[in-house]
Amino acid sequence: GVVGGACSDVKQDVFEVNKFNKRSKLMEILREDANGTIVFVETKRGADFLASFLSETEFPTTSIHGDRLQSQREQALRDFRTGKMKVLIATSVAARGLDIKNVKHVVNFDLPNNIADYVHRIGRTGRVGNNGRATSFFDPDHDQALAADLVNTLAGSDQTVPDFLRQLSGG
Amino acid sequence: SYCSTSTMTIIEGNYREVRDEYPDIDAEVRAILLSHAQNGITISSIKDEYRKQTGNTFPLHDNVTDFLLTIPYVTAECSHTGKRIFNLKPNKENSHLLEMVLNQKQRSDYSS
Repeated sequence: GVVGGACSDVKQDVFEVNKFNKRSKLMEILREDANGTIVFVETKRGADFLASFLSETEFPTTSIHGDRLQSQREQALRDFRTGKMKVLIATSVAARGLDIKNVKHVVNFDLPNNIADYVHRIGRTGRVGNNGRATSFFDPDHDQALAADLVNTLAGSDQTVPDFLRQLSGG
Repeated sequence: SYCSTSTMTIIEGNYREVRDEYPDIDAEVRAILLSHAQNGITISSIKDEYRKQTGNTFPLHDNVTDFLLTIPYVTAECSHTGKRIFNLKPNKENSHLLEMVLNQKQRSDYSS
């Protein structure tokens, strides 16, 4: 792909999802295949809420965020890598600097507020010749400012741009 | 007596209706308690957090303590200041998370 851009061997999907429909949409996606999925969320408590809910209902899930000790982050990462935990919920800040590569599926439950972070996140999937997958929940009440950059990034990496996103970006 | 029996019946009936309408409420409440397990949480904060996480108003207004104590693994205590504080015991699905929360950096406030 373009240097500094998103790789075209990552299949990128963007769905229009309102804040309180995100949890059921995530579960729908995980039911297809939960293994090796990292889910990015905005808040520490949101990460733990979601990890607890998923673990108790359908998918063994662990979490990483800024209140965790280094040893706890490493343990969570280990549980994810070995497959003991199918899903890892992470806040952006906590995931920065952690060696999380070759993830099967990156889900942006909450989108970052800038496109560089988006490209960085989806760069964690689809390495070493494997096809990766990135799915993002676009909340029109929250993510409007990212629309135009997201359209450019999708178009620049040979991805289908959803109509709702093209309209929101004003093009 | 007739009076207390009929009260009991009404309360149990309400909880069944709540659980029919909100089938995930037990797991949602436990998830809230888990994310606040370091310090525990009061009923008014549980209600705030429930709205923040689900978008819905907490479906019970009266007898909330009784309702919460029908949810498996939920605990309640009267703190030294007299506040009623709720918390959680681990189960086999969430113990890895609860253990991390209890041993993570201590939060100095109640913010998210």
